[in-house]
Amino acid sequence: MSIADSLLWLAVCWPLLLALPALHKRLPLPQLLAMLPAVLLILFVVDNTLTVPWLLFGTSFSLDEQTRWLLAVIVALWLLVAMMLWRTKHPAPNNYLATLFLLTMSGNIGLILASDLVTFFCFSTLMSYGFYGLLIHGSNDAVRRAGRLYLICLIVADLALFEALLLVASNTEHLQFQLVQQVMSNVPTTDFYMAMVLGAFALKAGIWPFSLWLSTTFSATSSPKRLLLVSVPVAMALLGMLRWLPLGQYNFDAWGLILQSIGGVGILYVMFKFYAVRQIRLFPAYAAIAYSSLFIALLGIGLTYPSLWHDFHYLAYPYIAVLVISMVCLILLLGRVEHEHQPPETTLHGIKQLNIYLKQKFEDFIQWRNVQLHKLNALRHAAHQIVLQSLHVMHMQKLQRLMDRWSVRMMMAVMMGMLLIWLMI
Amino acid sequence: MKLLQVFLTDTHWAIILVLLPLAAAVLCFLFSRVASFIGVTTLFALLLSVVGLGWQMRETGVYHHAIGGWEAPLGIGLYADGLSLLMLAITALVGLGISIYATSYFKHQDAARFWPLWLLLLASLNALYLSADIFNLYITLELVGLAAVALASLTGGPDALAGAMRYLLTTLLGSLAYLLGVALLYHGYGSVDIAILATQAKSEPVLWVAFGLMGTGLALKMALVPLHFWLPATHANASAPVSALLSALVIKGAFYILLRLWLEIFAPHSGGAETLFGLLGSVAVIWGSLQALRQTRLKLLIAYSTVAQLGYLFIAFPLATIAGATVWIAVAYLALSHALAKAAMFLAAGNLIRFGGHDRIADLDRVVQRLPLTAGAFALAGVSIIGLPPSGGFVGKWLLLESALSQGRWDLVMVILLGSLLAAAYVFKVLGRTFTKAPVSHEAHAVPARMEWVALLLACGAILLGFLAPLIIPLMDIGNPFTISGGQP
Amino acid sequence: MNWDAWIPLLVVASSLLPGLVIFTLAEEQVRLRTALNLLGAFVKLALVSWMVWGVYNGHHFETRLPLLPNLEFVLRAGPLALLFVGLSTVLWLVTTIYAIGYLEGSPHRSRFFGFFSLCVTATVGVALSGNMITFLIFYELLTLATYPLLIHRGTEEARKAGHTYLVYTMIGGALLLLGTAWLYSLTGTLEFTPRGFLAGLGEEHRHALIIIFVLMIAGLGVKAAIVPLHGWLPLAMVAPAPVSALLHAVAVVKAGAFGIVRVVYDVFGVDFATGLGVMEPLAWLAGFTIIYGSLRALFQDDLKRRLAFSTISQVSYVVLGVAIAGPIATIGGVVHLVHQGLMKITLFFCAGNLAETLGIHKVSEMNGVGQRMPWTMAAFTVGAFGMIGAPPVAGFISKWYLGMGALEAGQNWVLLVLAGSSLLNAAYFLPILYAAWFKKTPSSWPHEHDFGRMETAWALLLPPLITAALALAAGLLATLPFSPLDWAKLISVREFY
Repeated sequence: MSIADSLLWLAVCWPLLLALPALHKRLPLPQLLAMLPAVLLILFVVDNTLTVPWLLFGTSFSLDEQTRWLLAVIVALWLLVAMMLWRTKHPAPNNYLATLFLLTMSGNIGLILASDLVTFFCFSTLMSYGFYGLLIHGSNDAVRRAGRLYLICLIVADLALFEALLLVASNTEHLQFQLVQQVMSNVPTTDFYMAMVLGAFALKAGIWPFSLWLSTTFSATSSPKRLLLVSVPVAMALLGMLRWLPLGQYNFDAWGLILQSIGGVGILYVMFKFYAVRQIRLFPAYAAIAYSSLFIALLGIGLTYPSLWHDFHYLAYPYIAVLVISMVCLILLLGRVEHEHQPPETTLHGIKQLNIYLKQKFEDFIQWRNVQLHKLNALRHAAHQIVLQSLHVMHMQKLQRLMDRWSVRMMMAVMMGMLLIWLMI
Repeated sequence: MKLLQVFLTDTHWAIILVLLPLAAAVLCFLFSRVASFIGVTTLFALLLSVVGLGWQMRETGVYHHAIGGWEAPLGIGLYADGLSLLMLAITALVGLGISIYATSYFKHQDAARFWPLWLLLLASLNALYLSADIFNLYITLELVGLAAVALASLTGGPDALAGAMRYLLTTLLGSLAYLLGVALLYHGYGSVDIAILATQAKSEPVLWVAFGLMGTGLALKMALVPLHFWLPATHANASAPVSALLSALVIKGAFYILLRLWLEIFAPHSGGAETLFGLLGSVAVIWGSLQALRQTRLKLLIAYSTVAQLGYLFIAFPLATIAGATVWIAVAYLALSHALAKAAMFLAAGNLIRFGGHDRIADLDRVVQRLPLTAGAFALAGVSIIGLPPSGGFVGKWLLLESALSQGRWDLVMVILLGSLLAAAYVFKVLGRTFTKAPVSHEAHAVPARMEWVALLLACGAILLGFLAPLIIPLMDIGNPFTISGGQP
Repeated sequence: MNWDAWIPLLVVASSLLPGLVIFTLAEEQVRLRTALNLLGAFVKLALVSWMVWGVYNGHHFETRLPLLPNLEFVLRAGPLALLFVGLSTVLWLVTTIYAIGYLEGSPHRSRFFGFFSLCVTATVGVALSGNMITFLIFYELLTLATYPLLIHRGTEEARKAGHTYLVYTMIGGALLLLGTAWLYSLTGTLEFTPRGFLAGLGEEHRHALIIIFVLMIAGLGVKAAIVPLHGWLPLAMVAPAPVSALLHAVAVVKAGAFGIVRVVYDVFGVDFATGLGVMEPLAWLAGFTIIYGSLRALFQDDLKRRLAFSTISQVSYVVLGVAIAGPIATIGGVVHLVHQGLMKITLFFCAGNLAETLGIHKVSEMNGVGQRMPWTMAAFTVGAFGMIGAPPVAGFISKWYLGMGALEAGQNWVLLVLAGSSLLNAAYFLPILYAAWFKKTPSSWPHEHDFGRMETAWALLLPPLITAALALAAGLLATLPFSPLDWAKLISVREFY
């Protein structure tokens, strides 16, 4: 077994092993230590596949250029969350936070690295249930109620995925993603397969009309877990669609249409909610739903035009990575807002506050920079300050106005544009 | 080695089997102090003699001996084939068990009365199994009956005496009916020898009447429903070893005669009697089992179980007209295992009574903890009675069931299965109680280990029979006792 | 002398003889009793391993003794037999360790272990039986050996449960006996034959054969707890935990399911049975049982009762796999014999631990118990996820093959049943896990024993951990040679198709 193989192996198993309380209690910084193989993997390994024929029905992991970047983003996310979790909390002796954290993370890493359906399914299960535990660990009743909804969605989704798996297995012996995509694009049960896969991942990603669990859970839980909530299940479910659906193989007009309409409706829904909902705290959740709805719509286009998919499919992985990154930024930002202000009343109010906050922050930043600059050059500092200040004021006022007046219209415009494209197609 | 072989083959074991217990009975009567010792020794000797007889028969086939050299029409003949051999064996075996049990059970005075009677009974039973003519059969039957009645009255309680009286009347009545039958046959065919009668019998009224009389008499002695009225009271009220020997051995004697006569003489001329037997047998199985289930006293339950189990023996008659030997083997097997199991059950019940002073089923709590061996004995015997595998009872019922099925006799199939289920119900009615925790503690009387072990070993014997079929069935077939001989139908 | 002909008999004797000796031991001879138990278990394990290796390499192990005219007492170690024997042997060993810990200091242990050994003897005998009559013998012996274990506690409740058990099993036994005897009167043989021995029978026996099939399945279905013959099983949970564990995982319930496999494949032959048109109703019955058992389990607060209904549901997976009548589904059904055993015994061990350590009997008392007994609950979690069918625990493999088999045979409704069952399994297991891990620990437990540093006695803790690990391994390492799945494939190739 080469070093690369061992790293692939360790990246998944090492966190799993550390999840044992007996082990991680005896090691310093177990959460960070657990990520070490994954980090090494990202840094030093390109394009490697590891096949373990004796595990389950034959397990395989692979790392290529695209998964590598996704993995990097995800590991960074986990690093961030770990730091946040263990900064704010001091775990009691009999506390399973670390175990749950490591289980979920291991599931997540394994999920990204998996290159066949069963492995993917296994790690997806591990990740989902682990994440459920993480979510409700030490939380209040509201979270538990919300978590229950998530759990139900999860079980149903796993059942659907299992059925899909069976369909695949009854058509082909080899469950590698590429092979499955080829095989499943043209068998009698393709439609059922597609329905199962799409339904399952739509549930897992919280795409409209299954988005309730995402917003409910999001509103109930606390900040570090929110980071995970909008990124880990959502992003991984989108990844699952990429892996499982027979994309770029065959022309699926009907499915394409359905996906596009779901995506469209999803975005409309988000807009509606965006207005109706009273808490800005939920903004990231709806943003995530919008993101994934857009993704679905794009997938729909891909299904309708395999050639288009062929040309642009490499964008899908970055899309997911960007989703994670942007969600993280958004939540961190909002977290700061909440931290320093009272919780805002309505969305619009919230956005105003956000603007004000942004302005303040920006001012702070500028001030800080200015102080620095001042130290360097008092003379130039004065000139700069005048220019920048004026620029900044103009800019922020504009932005504020834009947000106040145009946010809805902009959304509408995007929507209309999409609808138009879709109709034209 | 050679000498031993000669000894085994040349000795007249059959004569020893009759005379030895007779002599022993006299000795016991004379030297009542050592009666137990004499008795048990005799039983061991009897068992060895049966083994010797078995050896002899395996070498030379059917045993036939005319006492004093007088041949059939005039003299007394001794005759033993596989069936007789097995009946002798089971008598000796169960008898040995009961004897060992009795050494602990009976105190001085009772012992002095028990042993001579018991040995006399044994002698008569052995003679019964060895008789070759119907008159000798009558004599031995009468002797068995009288000895049994005397034994039944042994405990001396009013219940026991009443039971014994009733028993006396029925047994006399039964013998009388049988004797009338014998007289008719003798009048009709001029012989009492079974073999001669077999060749001469014709389907004619005299035979039918004779059969009716003999059959009724024997059925009375075997307590075939509806003639079973005397049995429960008698068997339940006698002392434990006596109950055991009555149920296990005495009844089998009557059945042996019936079977013999049927096979040799009456079967070709039955005129539908087998259907009646089958019907009564079925009723006996169901009725007896139901009655057993209803009882609240252990010994009554066991006694009714005897009524039910005897029914199985009669079920065989209609089946045997087609299936022949298989069914008779089944019946013989059932009789053997019933002898062992029922003896074990009664002895176990005796232990329980000795221990707790009563035999109310509902109060048998915690017996398992106090008398595990006895409970085990009862359970194992119960297994054989129910006919669960692996046990002698199972082998018998399996063969019976198989014949009934292959003949499409669904009524009998149902009876057999229902009987088993009901048997399970009454056996476990007792066993279920024995495990519960009793709130009140009984006044416990110690039960000698010997009594427990005897019951257990007999029950184990009944179970073991289930594995010994390949050994026993060839023995049964010596002399082809189950092929129906006799004249033209 | 050819030893191969005696090894099956020795396997049976290796638990029978210690059992009989144990009966005679006094209550205080703990060490001797333990030594005998473990000796028997290890000897059996060694013998079975030897046979597994031998059969894998094509050896033939068969004991034949005459029993009745034309019928023999046959013990034969075919692949299917060995699957079940292996399961019983391993789980017997584990359960013995557990029982030693569980019953420490309680009365009547000699009796208990004696019957316990008898129970295993009967199970192994059922597995090794080479013909129907031998099967019947051990099947009834199993009924009898289990009864004293069931009512071991001696309470009135136990007596009633034992009574119900007997009523069901005795009637079942009678039906099986009737079917067997009838079959014998038609064919003149009862020898288990790969692909059945009835193919030669003519069309005129068709109706008789259908009735025989129904009789036999009804007789076996009582032990396999197929609805509506399941009434005794939920009551039987009054037995001590090791007994429940063995009862649900190996001995009684499995003997019934195993018998159904035998009857379908080695007596009737799957093609012949399909031709009779009896497989489809059986499949429907099994499907109904699966859903019904799960539904009932949802509403039980008593932990062991919930597990009992879960057993009713899970054992019918085996029957379903058989009744779908395709090679792949059969693999799923047969392998579930082992998988369900491993998972369910884990769950029962854990339930026993909770009762013994903390006095917890009800689901509603389990709040936060994961904090107090993490290892036990970890094992329980593995078992529960296995029951749901989540990968990579063993239950996933069974479900996988059942589903594939159903698709292959074109019986798509089975997928619905499987999905429904998984859903319901999740619905009654996950709340337990949730309560145990995430709810607040109460200030005191109903009846707590102190075991020092350990969460409970090691003899109670070790067995569930072992079986949970085995259940995980059976799933993760399913493709390795000698895994239950691999062996089930071997069975399917050699004996069924």
